[in-house]
Amino acid sequence: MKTMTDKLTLSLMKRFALSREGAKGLLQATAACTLADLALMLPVGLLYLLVSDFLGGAVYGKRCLFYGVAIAGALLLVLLTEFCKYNATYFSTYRESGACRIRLAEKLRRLPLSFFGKKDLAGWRGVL
Amino acid sequence: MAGPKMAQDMQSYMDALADMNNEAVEYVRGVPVVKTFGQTVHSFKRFKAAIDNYYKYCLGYCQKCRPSMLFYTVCINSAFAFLIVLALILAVGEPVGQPLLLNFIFYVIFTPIIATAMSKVMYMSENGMIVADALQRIHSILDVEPLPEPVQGQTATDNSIELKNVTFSYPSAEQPALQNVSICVQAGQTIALVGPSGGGKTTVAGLISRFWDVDSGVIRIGGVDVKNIAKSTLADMVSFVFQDSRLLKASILDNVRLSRPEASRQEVEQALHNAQCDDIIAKLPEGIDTVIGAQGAHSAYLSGGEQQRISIARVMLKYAPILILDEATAFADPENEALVQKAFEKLACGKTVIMIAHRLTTIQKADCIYVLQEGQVAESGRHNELLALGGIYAKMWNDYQTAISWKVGENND
Repeated sequence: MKTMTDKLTLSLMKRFALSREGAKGLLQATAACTLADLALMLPVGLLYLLVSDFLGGAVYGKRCLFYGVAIAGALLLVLLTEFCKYNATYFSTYRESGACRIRLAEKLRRLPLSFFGKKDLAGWRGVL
Repeated sequence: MAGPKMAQDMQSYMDALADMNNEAVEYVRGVPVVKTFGQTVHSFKRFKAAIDNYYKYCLGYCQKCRPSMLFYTVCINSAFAFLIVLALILAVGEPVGQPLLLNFIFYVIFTPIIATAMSKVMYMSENGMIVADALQRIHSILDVEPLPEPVQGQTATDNSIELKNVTFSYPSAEQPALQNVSICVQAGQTIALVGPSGGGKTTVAGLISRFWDVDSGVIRIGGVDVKNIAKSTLADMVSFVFQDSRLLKASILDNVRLSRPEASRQEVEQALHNAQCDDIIAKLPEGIDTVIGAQGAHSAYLSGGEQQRISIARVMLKYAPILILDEATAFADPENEALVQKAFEKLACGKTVIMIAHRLTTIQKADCIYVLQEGQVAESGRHNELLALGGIYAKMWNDYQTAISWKVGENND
């Protein structure tokens, strides 16, 4: 399992020009988004249950308690997963974009001087 | 994610972004310097600070948005809770009829559509703020007034230039750049402006071609106030040679033709010949069709002095009767300088010339030399008169001569 995540991280780093931290962040964000979307399916399940209850005839007091607890639980789960998703996407995106710019600037510095004669300076600015 | 507070935040976000972009330009420009001294990006503090600032700003912005964003997401996703609770209240304890079931299913299908619409409204308002901010930035440029154009342009009678009691200060500066400057140039004369840096030499040149308007006093070309000469006429009359003339990434032919697009190939060739560019053209693979500064087989790089000569050819093609040379020989290397000088002599022939010069040898023959210091004309006269006067110019000349003999001394060692 560990080696698989490592491999995945490496391939992501290559494909999207990310730092190791950024690739890990991307994996985390993917997981967080998946969880959040799964959590959003809970309400649908509850609605489904209720409709099937209604089709079965009537709903009685005991069942209401179950729905009350289930609703509260579902909302809490949605809140929790959305919180994780928000942190994993927005924060790590900006952290990565900052790190990426610094890396690019470092790379530019290491290139031979002749490289700068070849291309318009305005082009570099745009990239950064 | 909407409201005036957010609009303000959005603006500072845009500011941080623009700031970072500007620093990126500075950084890329400075890379050769950074490289030469082997420094890392971390010592390039300003750019790093701008990136960090942008990053910090984004983080803060995200943190600020987090509670409301979460609240919003949970809210639009909690429609199901209301539906279930309401349906239960209506239906509990009784057998469920078909109308209630039908209504319930309808609302289950309908509510997500409302949620989608709400999201759209939110993103629209966010985009609206971005657009408003961008528009404001565009307007900050559009609102700058160009200099007023005369309704009926007058034509200058000859090529004389006269500055009378001119005072001018740059828009943001406190000290005036020029104070009560009067300069008179007869048609066909050559005058020189010398003096320490920041003395106002380039300002005088800029005012003559009306880059700005004077605060008080008047500038006349051929007896007509420059404010009353149409912009295009003025542009045809005055041509400028800067110290670092820019050539475009185009063929030499097109570069030279820039000053007069309708010029024929023969005319361009003649101008290049007059500007002493024959040796440059001869060594280029495609002659005057060679593209300058581009990659590929049919291209070439030119040295500073060579570029200068090409740009002289450009000015020659224009036939402007008034010529302003702003330290035009400063970049030329010794081999080029003689050629550049020769090119200038041909160019200046029969024209009114204003020279701004550091190398005093180039201006000895000028009809009149004006020494500008702290925005005022400190001395004026011919070379010999000024030497005899024993003032600033005489001192500059002595320093200059000493500097030359130092150089010679070094060579003899």
